[in-house]
Amino acid sequence: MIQFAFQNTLQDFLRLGRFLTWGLVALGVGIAAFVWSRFQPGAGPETYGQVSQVIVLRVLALSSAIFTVQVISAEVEQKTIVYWLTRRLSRTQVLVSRTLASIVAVIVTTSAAWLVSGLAVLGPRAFQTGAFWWDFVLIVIGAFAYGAFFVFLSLLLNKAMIYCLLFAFGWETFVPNMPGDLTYMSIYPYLRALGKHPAPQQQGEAGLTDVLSGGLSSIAIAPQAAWIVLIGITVFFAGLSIYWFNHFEYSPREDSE
Amino acid sequence: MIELRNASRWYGEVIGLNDVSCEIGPGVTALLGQNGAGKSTLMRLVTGQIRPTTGDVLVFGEDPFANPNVFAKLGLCPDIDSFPEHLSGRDFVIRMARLMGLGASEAKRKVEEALVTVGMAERAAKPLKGYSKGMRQRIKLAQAMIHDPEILLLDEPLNGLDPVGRREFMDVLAGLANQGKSIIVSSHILFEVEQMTRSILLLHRGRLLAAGDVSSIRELIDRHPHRIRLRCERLRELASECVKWPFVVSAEIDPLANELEVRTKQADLFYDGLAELAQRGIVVTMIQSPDNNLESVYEYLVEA
Repeated sequence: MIQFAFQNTLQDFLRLGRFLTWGLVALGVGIAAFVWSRFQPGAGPETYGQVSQVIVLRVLALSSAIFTVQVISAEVEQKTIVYWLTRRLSRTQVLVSRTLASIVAVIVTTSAAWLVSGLAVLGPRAFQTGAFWWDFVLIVIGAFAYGAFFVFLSLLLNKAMIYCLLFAFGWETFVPNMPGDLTYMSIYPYLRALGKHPAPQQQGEAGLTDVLSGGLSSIAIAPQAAWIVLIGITVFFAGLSIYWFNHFEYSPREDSE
Repeated sequence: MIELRNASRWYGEVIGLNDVSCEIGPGVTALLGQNGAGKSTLMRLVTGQIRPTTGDVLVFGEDPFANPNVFAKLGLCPDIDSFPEHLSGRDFVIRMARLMGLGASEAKRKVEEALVTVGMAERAAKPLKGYSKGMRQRIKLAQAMIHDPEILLLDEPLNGLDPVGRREFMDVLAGLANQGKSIIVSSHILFEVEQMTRSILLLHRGRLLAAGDVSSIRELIDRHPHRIRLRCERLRELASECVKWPFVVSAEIDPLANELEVRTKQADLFYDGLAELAQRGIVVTMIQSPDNNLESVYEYLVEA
Protein backbone atom coordinates (compact mmCIF):
# COMPACT_ATOMS: atom_id res chain seq x y z
CA MET A 1 0.00 0.00 0.00
CA ILE A 2 2.77 2.44 0.87
CA GLN A 3 4.35 1.72 -2.49
CA PHE A 4 1.04 2.39 -4.23
CA ALA A 5 0.62 5.61 -2.25
CA PHE A 6 4.11 6.69 -3.30
CA GLN A 7 3.62 5.87 -7.00
CA ASN A 8 0.21 7.41 -7.02
CA THR A 9 1.37 10.65 -5.45
CA LEU A 10 4.34 10.83 -7.78
CA GLN A 11 2.05 10.42 -10.77
CA ASP A 12 -0.03 13.31 -9.46
CA PHE A 13 2.99 15.51 -8.85
CA LEU A 14 4.55 14.81 -12.23
CA ARG A 15 1.50 14.65 -14.43
CA LEU A 16 1.91 16.06 -17.92
CA GLY A 17 0.75 19.64 -17.30
CA ARG A 18 3.06 20.10 -14.35
CA PHE A 19 5.93 18.38 -16.11
CA LEU A 20 5.63 20.79 -19.01
CA THR A 21 5.60 23.75 -16.62
CA TRP A 22 8.83 22.61 -15.01
CA GLY A 23 10.23 21.90 -18.46
CA LEU A 24 9.63 25.57 -19.28
CA VAL A 25 11.36 26.58 -16.05
CA ALA A 26 14.35 24.46 -17.05
CA LEU A 27 14.36 26.08 -20.48
CA GLY A 28 14.32 29.53 -18.88
CA VAL A 29 17.24 28.53 -16.64
CA GLY A 30 19.10 27.26 -19.70
CA ILE A 31 18.59 30.51 -21.59
CA ALA A 32 19.70 32.57 -18.56
CA ALA A 33 22.76 30.34 -18.14
CA PHE A 34 23.65 30.65 -21.82
CA VAL A 35 23.39 34.46 -21.75
CA TRP A 36 25.41 34.54 -18.51
CA SER A 37 28.18 32.49 -20.07
CA ARG A 38 28.40 34.95 -23.00
CA PHE A 39 29.31 37.71 -20.55
CA GLN A 40 32.24 35.69 -19.21
CA PRO A 41 33.89 34.09 -22.23
CA GLY A 42 36.53 31.49 -21.45
CA ALA A 43 35.43 31.08 -17.83
CA GLY A 44 33.11 28.10 -18.34
CA PRO A 45 33.60 26.18 -15.06
CA GLU A 46 33.47 29.37 -12.95
CA THR A 47 30.36 30.60 -14.76
CA TYR A 48 28.69 27.23 -14.38
CA GLY A 49 29.47 27.35 -10.65
CA GLN A 50 27.80 30.75 -10.39
CA VAL A 51 24.77 29.59 -12.37
CA SER A 52 24.51 26.51 -10.20
CA GLN A 53 24.68 28.47 -6.95
CA VAL A 54 22.51 31.38 -7.98
CA ILE A 55 19.91 29.73 -10.19
CA VAL A 56 19.88 25.93 -9.86
CA LEU A 57 19.87 25.98 -6.06
CA ARG A 58 17.06 28.58 -6.23
CA VAL A 59 15.07 26.26 -8.48
CA LEU A 60 15.70 23.54 -5.90
CA ALA A 61 14.30 25.69 -3.09
CA LEU A 62 11.34 26.81 -5.24
CA SER A 63 10.53 23.30 -6.36
CA SER A 64 10.79 22.02 -2.77
CA ALA A 65 8.45 24.73 -1.51
CA ILE A 66 5.88 23.93 -4.17
CA PHE A 67 5.93 20.15 -4.03
CA THR A 68 6.31 19.60 -0.31
CA VAL A 69 3.42 21.89 0.50
CA GLN A 70 1.27 19.56 -1.57
CA VAL A 71 2.16 16.62 0.65
CA ILE A 72 -0.44 17.43 3.33
CA SER A 73 -1.21 21.15 3.42
CA ALA A 74 -2.70 21.36 -0.08
CA GLU A 75 -4.80 18.25 0.59
CA VAL A 76 -6.17 19.92 3.73
CA GLU A 77 -6.98 23.11 1.86
CA GLN A 78 -8.68 21.17 -0.94
CA LYS A 79 -10.39 19.04 1.72
CA THR A 80 -9.30 15.84 -0.03
CA ILE A 81 -7.21 14.97 3.03
CA VAL A 82 -10.23 13.08 4.35
CA TYR A 83 -9.70 10.41 1.70
CA TRP A 84 -6.10 9.88 2.85
CA LEU A 85 -6.85 9.90 6.57
CA THR A 86 -9.56 7.27 6.44
CA ARG A 87 -7.63 4.63 4.48
CA ARG A 88 -5.86 1.56 5.79
CA LEU A 89 -2.56 3.43 5.84
CA SER A 90 -1.15 4.73 9.09
CA ARG A 91 -0.50 8.44 9.20
CA THR A 92 3.23 7.75 9.19
CA GLN A 93 2.86 5.75 5.97
CA VAL A 94 0.79 8.52 4.38
CA LEU A 95 3.33 11.17 5.32
CA VAL A 96 6.43 9.18 4.39
CA SER A 97 5.10 7.93 1.05
CA ARG A 98 3.87 11.36 -0.01
CA THR A 99 6.99 13.15 1.22
CA LEU A 100 9.26 10.75 -0.65
CA ALA A 101 7.18 11.28 -3.78
CA SER A 102 7.53 15.04 -3.40
CA ILE A 103 11.31 14.70 -2.94
CA VAL A 104 11.58 12.60 -6.10
CA ALA A 105 9.50 15.23 -7.93
CA VAL A 106 11.84 17.96 -6.65
CA ILE A 107 14.89 15.99 -7.77
CA VAL A 108 13.41 15.39 -11.23
CA THR A 109 12.34 18.99 -11.81
CA THR A 110 15.54 20.53 -10.41
CA SER A 111 17.66 18.05 -12.33
CA ALA A 112 16.09 19.25 -15.55
CA ALA A 113 17.24 22.80 -14.74
CA TRP A 114 20.66 21.50 -13.66
CA LEU A 115 21.12 19.49 -16.85
CA VAL A 116 20.02 22.30 -19.15
CA SER A 117 22.14 24.91 -17.36
CA GLY A 118 25.21 22.64 -17.49
CA LEU A 119 24.78 22.07 -21.21
CA ALA A 120 24.11 25.75 -21.84
CA VAL A 121 27.33 26.86 -20.14
CA LEU A 122 29.72 23.96 -20.62
CA GLY A 123 28.22 22.21 -23.61
CA PRO A 124 28.99 18.46 -23.88
CA ARG A 125 32.05 19.11 -21.67
CA ALA A 126 29.62 19.17 -18.74
CA PHE A 127 29.54 15.39 -18.71
CA GLN A 128 33.29 15.26 -18.17
CA THR A 129 33.19 17.84 -15.39
CA GLY A 130 33.30 16.46 -11.86
CA ALA A 131 31.76 19.57 -10.30
CA PHE A 132 28.78 19.24 -12.63
CA TRP A 133 28.04 15.68 -11.54
CA TRP A 134 28.65 16.56 -7.91
CA ASP A 135 25.85 19.13 -8.17
CA PHE A 136 23.42 16.26 -8.60
CA VAL A 137 24.44 15.02 -5.15
CA LEU A 138 23.73 18.54 -3.85
CA ILE A 139 20.30 18.46 -5.45
CA VAL A 140 19.51 15.14 -3.78
CA ILE A 141 20.66 16.13 -0.30
CA GLY A 142 19.10 19.58 -0.73
CA ALA A 143 15.78 18.04 -1.77
CA PHE A 144 15.76 15.98 1.43
CA ALA A 145 16.77 18.87 3.69
CA TYR A 146 14.38 21.42 2.19
CA GLY A 147 11.68 18.76 1.88
CA ALA A 148 11.84 17.73 5.54
CA PHE A 149 11.85 21.36 6.69
CA PHE A 150 9.04 22.53 4.40
CA VAL A 151 6.85 19.53 5.19
CA PHE A 152 7.14 20.37 8.87
CA LEU A 153 6.32 24.03 8.18
CA SER A 154 3.29 22.98 6.17
CA LEU A 155 2.08 20.77 9.02
CA LEU A 156 2.52 23.62 11.45
CA LEU A 157 1.12 26.63 9.58
CA ASN A 158 -1.94 27.53 7.55
CA LYS A 159 -1.19 28.93 4.08
CA ALA A 160 2.20 27.25 4.28
CA MET A 161 3.06 27.93 0.65
CA ILE A 162 3.55 31.64 1.40
CA TYR A 163 5.95 30.95 4.26
CA CYS A 164 7.86 28.32 2.32
CA LEU A 165 8.31 30.63 -0.67
CA LEU A 166 9.36 33.48 1.62
CA PHE A 167 11.91 31.17 3.18
CA ALA A 168 13.09 29.84 -0.18
CA PHE A 169 13.66 33.26 -1.71
CA GLY A 170 13.81 35.82 1.10
CA TRP A 171 15.45 34.04 3.98
CA GLU A 172 17.74 31.92 1.85
CA THR A 173 18.95 34.99 -0.05
CA PHE A 174 19.51 37.48 2.74
CA VAL A 175 20.30 35.51 5.89
CA PRO A 176 23.46 33.87 4.44
CA ASN A 177 24.81 37.40 3.82
CA MET A 178 24.03 38.77 7.26
CA PRO A 179 26.84 39.65 9.62
CA GLY A 180 27.82 37.44 12.51
CA ASP A 181 26.74 33.84 12.85
CA LEU A 182 23.33 34.23 11.23
CA THR A 183 24.52 32.50 8.09
CA TYR A 184 24.30 29.24 10.04
CA MET A 185 20.53 29.72 10.32
CA SER A 186 19.74 28.81 6.72
CA ILE A 187 20.12 25.75 4.52
CA TYR A 188 21.66 27.35 1.44
CA PRO A 189 25.18 28.03 2.84
CA TYR A 190 25.57 24.35 3.70
CA LEU A 191 24.66 23.31 0.16
CA ARG A 192 27.02 25.94 -1.19
CA ALA A 193 29.77 24.65 1.08
CA LEU A 194 29.38 21.19 -0.42
CA GLY A 195 29.76 22.44 -4.00
CA LYS A 196 33.02 21.76 -5.79
CA HIS A 197 33.07 24.74 -8.07
CA PRO A 198 36.14 26.86 -8.72
CA ALA A 199 35.83 30.25 -7.05
CA PRO A 200 35.28 33.06 -9.58
CA GLN A 201 37.93 35.73 -9.75
CA GLN A 202 36.90 38.72 -7.62
CA GLN A 203 36.65 41.86 -9.75
CA GLY A 204 36.22 44.93 -7.56
CA GLU A 205 33.45 45.20 -5.01
CA ALA A 206 30.83 42.55 -4.39
CA GLY A 207 27.93 42.60 -6.85
CA LEU A 208 24.46 41.14 -7.22
CA THR A 209 25.84 37.69 -8.00
CA ASP A 210 27.69 37.70 -4.67
CA VAL A 211 24.51 38.73 -2.85
CA LEU A 212 22.44 36.02 -4.54
CA SER A 213 25.03 33.36 -3.88
CA GLY A 214 25.49 34.30 -0.22
CA GLY A 215 29.02 35.44 -0.95
CA LEU A 216 29.04 38.44 1.40
CA SER A 217 29.56 36.39 4.52
CA SER A 218 33.12 35.74 5.57
CA ILE A 219 32.20 32.50 7.32
CA ALA A 220 33.44 29.39 5.57
CA ILE A 221 31.58 26.21 6.40
CA ALA A 222 33.58 23.00 6.27
CA PRO A 223 32.09 20.31 4.00
CA GLN A 224 32.02 17.76 6.83
CA ALA A 225 30.03 20.17 8.98
CA ALA A 226 27.70 20.85 6.05
CA TRP A 227 27.01 17.13 5.64
CA ILE A 228 26.26 16.73 9.33
CA VAL A 229 23.94 19.74 9.41
CA LEU A 230 22.03 18.80 6.24
CA ILE A 231 21.55 15.20 7.33
CA GLY A 232 20.66 16.45 10.82
CA ILE A 233 18.04 18.85 9.43
CA THR A 234 16.54 16.05 7.36
CA VAL A 235 16.36 13.56 10.21
CA PHE A 236 15.22 16.07 12.82
CA PHE A 237 12.41 17.65 10.80
CA ALA A 238 11.32 14.32 9.31
CA GLY A 239 10.99 12.86 12.80
CA LEU A 240 9.23 15.94 14.10
CA SER A 241 6.83 15.91 11.14
CA ILE A 242 5.93 12.27 11.75
CA TYR A 243 5.28 12.97 15.42
CA TRP A 244 3.25 16.08 14.60
CA PHE A 245 1.15 14.45 11.91
CA ASN A 246 0.35 11.51 14.16
CA HIS A 247 -0.71 13.65 17.11
CA PHE A 248 -2.62 16.53 15.60
CA GLU A 249 -5.80 16.81 13.61
CA TYR A 250 -5.83 17.60 9.92
CA SER A 251 -9.51 18.00 9.31
CA PRO A 252 -10.53 20.35 6.48
CA ARG A 253 -9.95 23.78 7.93
CA GLU A 254 -13.16 25.71 7.36
CA ASP A 255 -15.05 23.00 9.24
CA SER A 256 -12.89 23.21 12.29
CA GLU A 257 -12.90 26.96 12.57
CA MET B 1 -20.18 -1.32 17.08
CA ILE B 2 -20.02 2.41 17.82
CA GLU B 3 -20.15 3.88 21.28
CA LEU B 4 -19.97 7.47 22.42
CA ARG B 5 -19.53 8.10 26.14
CA ASN B 6 -20.14 11.70 27.21
CA ALA B 7 -18.33 12.80 24.10
CA SER B 8 -17.91 16.53 23.62
CA ARG B 9 -16.01 18.36 20.97
CA TRP B 10 -15.13 22.04 20.99
CA TYR B 11 -13.70 24.07 18.11
CA GLY B 12 -12.10 26.87 20.07
CA GLU B 13 -15.05 28.50 21.78
CA VAL B 14 -17.63 26.91 19.51
CA ILE B 15 -19.14 23.63 20.59
CA GLY B 16 -19.57 21.00 17.92
CA LEU B 17 -20.86 18.16 20.07
CA ASN B 18 -22.00 18.46 23.66
CA ASP B 19 -21.88 15.54 26.10
CA VAL B 20 -23.31 12.93 23.75
CA SER B 21 -23.70 9.33 24.88
CA CYS B 22 -25.17 6.71 22.59
CA GLU B 23 -24.59 3.33 21.00
CA ILE B 24 -25.10 2.57 17.34
CA GLY B 25 -25.54 -1.00 16.17
CA PRO B 26 -26.41 -2.83 12.94
CA GLY B 27 -29.04 -1.53 10.54
CA VAL B 28 -29.65 1.97 9.26
CA THR B 29 -29.41 4.78 11.78
CA ALA B 30 -30.12 8.34 10.81
CA LEU B 31 -28.40 11.35 12.28
CA LEU B 32 -30.99 14.04 12.04
CA GLY B 33 -30.30 17.68 12.65
CA GLN B 34 -30.05 21.10 11.08
CA ASN B 35 -26.83 22.58 9.75
CA GLY B 36 -24.51 23.08 12.70
CA ALA B 37 -26.30 20.46 14.81
CA GLY B 38 -23.15 18.37 15.15
CA LYS B 39 -23.80 15.64 12.58
CA SER B 40 -20.53 16.09 10.71
CA THR B 41 -18.61 16.45 13.97
CA LEU B 42 -20.02 13.12 15.12
CA MET B 43 -19.10 11.58 11.76
CA ARG B 44 -15.54 12.91 12.04
CA LEU B 45 -15.21 11.60 15.58
CA VAL B 46 -16.38 8.15 14.56
CA THR B 47 -14.11 8.09 11.52
CA GLY B 48 -11.11 9.14 13.61
CA GLN B 49 -10.42 12.39 11.83
CA ILE B 50 -10.73 14.34 15.07
CA ARG B 51 -10.60 13.53 18.77
CA PRO B 52 -13.25 14.29 21.36
CA THR B 53 -12.30 17.17 23.67
CA THR B 54 -13.79 15.22 26.56
CA GLY B 55 -15.36 11.78 26.79
CA ASP B 56 -14.71 8.73 24.66
CA VAL B 57 -15.53 7.50 21.19
CA LEU B 58 -15.11 3.79 20.56
CA VAL B 59 -15.52 1.92 17.30
CA PHE B 60 -15.31 -1.87 17.62
CA GLY B 61 -13.97 -1.17 21.11
CA GLU B 62 -11.03 0.91 19.83
CA ASP B 63 -10.20 4.59 19.70
CA PRO B 64 -10.68 5.44 16.01
CA PHE B 65 -8.31 8.43 15.88
CA ALA B 66 -5.58 7.69 13.30
CA ASN B 67 -6.34 3.99 13.66
CA PRO B 68 -6.04 2.02 10.37
CA ASN B 69 -7.48 -1.10 12.06
CA VAL B 70 -10.75 0.77 12.48
CA PHE B 71 -10.59 2.36 9.02
CA ALA B 72 -10.38 -1.10 7.46
CA LYS B 73 -13.91 -1.72 8.71
CA LEU B 74 -15.30 1.75 7.97
CA GLY B 75 -16.53 3.27 4.76
CA LEU B 76 -17.01 7.03 4.69
CA CYS B 77 -18.97 9.04 2.18
CA PRO B 78 -17.99 12.55 3.31
CA ASP B 79 -20.02 15.71 2.92
CA ILE B 80 -17.19 17.48 1.09
CA ASP B 81 -17.46 17.94 -2.64
CA SER B 82 -13.74 17.89 -3.38
CA PHE B 83 -11.90 15.34 -5.47
CA PRO B 84 -8.64 15.08 -7.37
CA GLU B 85 -10.49 16.64 -10.29
CA HIS B 86 -8.04 15.49 -12.98
CA LEU B 87 -8.88 11.83 -12.34
CA SER B 88 -11.79 9.96 -13.85
CA GLY B 89 -14.43 8.63 -11.49
CA ARG B 90 -13.23 5.08 -12.13
CA ASP B 91 -9.58 5.93 -11.50
CA PHE B 92 -10.50 7.71 -8.28
CA VAL B 93 -12.43 4.74 -6.95
CA ILE B 94 -9.63 2.36 -7.99
CA ARG B 95 -7.17 4.56 -6.15
CA MET B 96 -9.30 4.49 -3.03
CA ALA B 97 -9.66 0.72 -3.31
CA ARG B 98 -5.90 0.22 -3.63
CA LEU B 99 -5.30 2.44 -0.60
CA MET B 100 -7.68 0.16 1.27
CA GLY B 101 -5.31 -2.70 0.59
CA LEU B 102 -7.01 -4.35 -2.40
CA GLY B 103 -4.74 -5.83 -5.07
CA ALA B 104 -4.79 -4.40 -8.59
CA SER B 105 -7.04 -7.02 -10.19
CA GLU B 106 -9.34 -7.33 -7.18
CA ALA B 107 -9.65 -3.55 -7.02
CA LYS B 108 -10.65 -3.34 -10.68
CA ARG B 109 -13.24 -6.08 -10.30
CA LYS B 110 -14.76 -4.60 -7.15
CA VAL B 111 -14.74 -1.10 -8.60
CA GLU B 112 -16.77 -2.26 -11.59
CA GLU B 113 -19.26 -3.93 -9.25
CA ALA B 114 -19.52 -0.84 -7.09
CA LEU B 115 -19.94 1.44 -10.11
CA VAL B 116 -22.78 -0.75 -11.36
CA THR B 117 -24.39 -0.66 -7.91
CA VAL B 118 -24.33 3.14 -7.78
CA GLY B 119 -25.36 3.50 -11.42
CA MET B 120 -22.11 5.01 -12.67
CA ALA B 121 -20.62 2.19 -14.74
CA GLU B 122 -21.32 3.92 -18.06
CA ARG B 123 -20.15 7.38 -17.00
CA ALA B 124 -17.14 6.67 -14.80
CA ALA B 125 -14.56 7.15 -17.56
CA LYS B 126 -15.07 10.93 -17.64
CA PRO B 127 -12.92 13.27 -15.53
CA LEU B 128 -14.42 14.13 -12.16
CA LYS B 129 -14.26 17.85 -12.92
CA GLY B 130 -17.17 17.44 -15.34
CA TYR B 131 -19.44 15.58 -12.94
CA SER B 132 -22.76 16.85 -11.65
CA LYS B 133 -23.45 16.89 -7.93
CA GLY B 134 -25.46 13.70 -8.21
CA MET B 135 -22.68 11.88 -10.06
CA ARG B 136 -20.19 12.98 -7.42
CA GLN B 137 -22.43 11.64 -4.68
CA ARG B 138 -22.58 8.28 -6.44
CA ILE B 139 -18.80 8.14 -6.83
CA LYS B 140 -18.38 8.99 -3.16
CA LEU B 141 -20.72 6.14 -2.23
CA ALA B 142 -18.83 3.77 -4.54
CA GLN B 143 -15.48 4.55 -2.90
CA ALA B 144 -17.05 4.17 0.56
CA MET B 145 -18.40 0.67 -0.08
CA ILE B 146 -15.55 -0.64 -2.23
CA HIS B 147 -13.81 -2.61 0.54
CA ASP B 148 -17.01 -4.11 1.91
CA PRO B 149 -16.90 -2.25 5.24
CA GLU B 150 -18.89 -3.29 8.29
CA ILE B 151 -19.90 0.28 9.02
CA LEU B 152 -20.88 2.75 6.33
CA LEU B 153 -21.06 6.42 7.26
CA LEU B 154 -22.84 8.65 4.79
CA ASP B 155 -22.77 12.38 5.44
CA GLU B 156 -25.72 14.04 3.68
CA PRO B 157 -25.60 11.48 0.85
CA LEU B 158 -28.85 12.49 -0.81
CA ASN B 159 -27.79 16.09 -1.45
CA GLY B 160 -27.92 16.78 -5.14
CA LEU B 161 -29.62 13.56 -6.15
CA ASP B 162 -32.74 13.71 -8.28
CA PRO B 163 -35.86 11.80 -7.12
CA VAL B 164 -34.97 8.71 -9.16
CA GLY B 165 -31.42 8.81 -7.84
CA ARG B 166 -32.71 9.13 -4.28
CA ARG B 167 -34.93 6.11 -4.73
CA GLU B 168 -32.05 4.08 -6.18
CA PHE B 169 -29.75 5.26 -3.42
CA MET B 170 -32.23 4.24 -0.74
CA ASP B 171 -32.63 0.84 -2.36
CA VAL B 172 -28.86 0.35 -2.26
CA LEU B 173 -28.82 1.29 1.42
CA ALA B 174 -31.68 -1.08 2.16
CA GLY B 175 -29.77 -3.89 0.43
CA LEU B 176 -26.64 -3.17 2.44
CA ALA B 177 -28.63 -3.00 5.69
CA ASN B 178 -30.18 -6.38 4.88
CA GLN B 179 -26.65 -7.79 4.63
CA GLY B 180 -26.17 -6.85 8.30
CA LYS B 181 -24.16 -3.69 7.68
CA SER B 182 -24.30 -0.84 10.10
CA ILE B 183 -25.18 2.29 8.17
CA ILE B 184 -25.22 5.79 9.57
CA VAL B 185 -26.81 8.42 7.40
CA SER B 186 -26.91 12.10 8.25
CA SER B 187 -29.59 14.39 6.98
CA HIS B 188 -31.48 17.51 7.93
CA ILE B 189 -34.70 16.43 6.27
CA LEU B 190 -37.07 14.38 8.43
CA PHE B 191 -39.14 13.21 5.48
CA GLU B 192 -36.00 11.90 3.76
CA VAL B 193 -34.87 10.08 6.88
CA GLU B 194 -38.25 8.45 7.45
CA GLN B 195 -37.99 6.77 4.07
CA MET B 196 -34.66 5.18 4.99
CA THR B 197 -35.00 4.09 8.58
CA ARG B 198 -37.05 4.14 11.74
CA SER B 199 -34.01 4.53 13.97
CA ILE B 200 -32.78 8.05 14.49
CA LEU B 201 -30.48 10.18 16.59
CA LEU B 202 -31.78 13.72 16.74
CA LEU B 203 -29.08 16.34 17.25
CA HIS B 204 -29.60 20.00 17.94
CA ARG B 205 -26.84 22.51 18.63
CA GLY B 206 -24.45 19.74 19.52
CA ARG B 207 -26.74 17.94 21.94
CA LEU B 208 -28.42 14.60 21.45
CA LEU B 209 -32.04 15.60 21.77
CA ALA B 210 -33.70 12.26 21.18
CA ALA B 211 -32.72 8.76 20.19
CA GLY B 212 -34.78 5.81 19.11
CA ASP B 213 -37.65 5.11 16.76
CA VAL B 214 -38.72 7.92 14.50
CA SER B 215 -42.34 7.37 15.56
CA SER B 216 -41.45 8.51 19.08
CA ILE B 217 -40.31 11.78 17.58
CA ARG B 218 -43.50 12.00 15.61
CA GLU B 219 -45.49 11.38 18.79
CA LEU B 220 -43.62 14.18 20.49
CA ILE B 221 -44.56 16.41 17.61
CA ASP B 222 -48.16 15.30 17.74
CA ARG B 223 -48.45 16.34 21.36
CA HIS B 224 -48.04 19.87 20.14
CA PRO B 225 -50.75 21.31 17.87
CA HIS B 226 -49.77 22.00 14.29
CA ARG B 227 -50.47 25.45 12.93
CA ILE B 228 -52.04 25.52 9.49
CA ARG B 229 -52.90 28.71 7.59
CA LEU B 230 -55.66 28.57 5.00
CA ARG B 231 -57.16 30.86 2.38
CA CYS B 232 -60.64 30.37 1.04
CA GLU B 233 -63.42 32.38 -0.66
CA ARG B 234 -65.82 31.23 2.06
CA LEU B 235 -63.50 31.82 5.01
CA ARG B 236 -66.12 32.13 7.81
CA GLU B 237 -67.94 29.06 6.62
CA LEU B 238 -64.64 27.16 6.57
CA ALA B 239 -63.85 28.32 10.11
CA SER B 240 -67.20 27.20 11.44
CA GLU B 241 -66.77 23.77 9.84
CA CYS B 242 -63.27 23.40 11.24
CA VAL B 243 -64.19 24.12 14.86
CA LYS B 244 -66.71 21.28 14.71
CA TRP B 245 -63.90 18.75 14.31
CA PRO B 246 -62.67 17.26 17.60
CA PHE B 247 -59.00 17.31 16.55
CA VAL B 248 -59.04 21.07 15.97
CA VAL B 249 -57.82 22.98 19.02
CA SER B 250 -58.53 26.49 17.78
CA ALA B 251 -59.42 28.47 14.67
CA GLU B 252 -58.75 32.16 14.25
CA ILE B 253 -59.43 34.46 11.33
CA ASP B 254 -56.81 37.04 10.42
CA PRO B 255 -58.91 39.83 8.84
CA LEU B 256 -55.92 41.71 7.45
CA ALA B 257 -54.46 38.72 5.61
CA ASN B 258 -57.89 37.27 5.02
CA GLU B 259 -56.62 33.94 6.25
CA LEU B 260 -57.72 31.33 8.75
CA GLU B 261 -55.18 29.91 11.19
CA VAL B 262 -56.10 26.52 12.59
CA ARG B 263 -54.29 24.61 15.33
CA THR B 264 -54.79 20.86 15.21
CA LYS B 265 -53.30 17.86 16.99
CA GLN B 266 -53.89 15.52 14.07
CA ALA B 267 -52.83 17.14 10.86
CA ASP B 268 -53.55 14.07 8.74
CA LEU B 269 -57.21 13.96 9.78
CA PHE B 270 -57.47 17.69 9.29
CA TYR B 271 -56.26 17.44 5.68
CA ASP B 272 -58.75 14.60 5.07
CA GLY B 273 -61.49 16.87 6.40
CA LEU B 274 -60.47 19.63 4.00
CA ALA B 275 -60.85 17.21 1.11
CA GLU B 276 -64.42 16.46 2.22
CA LEU B 277 -65.19 20.16 2.49
CA ALA B 278 -63.90 20.70 -1.03
CA GLN B 279 -66.46 18.19 -2.27
CA ARG B 280 -69.14 20.34 -0.63
CA GLY B 281 -67.89 23.44 -2.44
CA ILE B 282 -65.73 24.96 0.31
CA VAL B 283 -62.54 25.08 -1.71
CA VAL B 284 -59.33 26.06 0.02
CA THR B 285 -57.07 28.10 -2.26
CA MET B 286 -53.94 28.09 -0.08
CA ILE B 287 -52.61 25.79 2.62
CA GLN B 288 -49.51 26.75 4.54
CA SER B 289 -48.14 24.69 7.41
CA PRO B 290 -45.27 26.55 9.04
CA ASP B 291 -45.01 23.82 11.66
CA ASN B 292 -44.41 21.02 9.25
CA ASN B 293 -40.63 21.22 9.30
CA LEU B 294 -37.79 20.06 11.44
CA GLU B 295 -37.21 23.47 12.97
CA SER B 296 -40.58 23.19 14.72
CA VAL B 297 -39.70 19.73 15.95
CA TYR B 298 -36.55 21.09 17.53
CA GLU B 299 -38.47 23.94 19.10
CA TYR B 300 -41.04 21.55 20.51
CA LEU B 301 -38.41 19.20 21.86
CA VAL B 302 -36.34 21.97 23.36
CA GLU B 303 -39.46 23.36 25.04
CA ALA B 304 -40.44 19.87 26.19
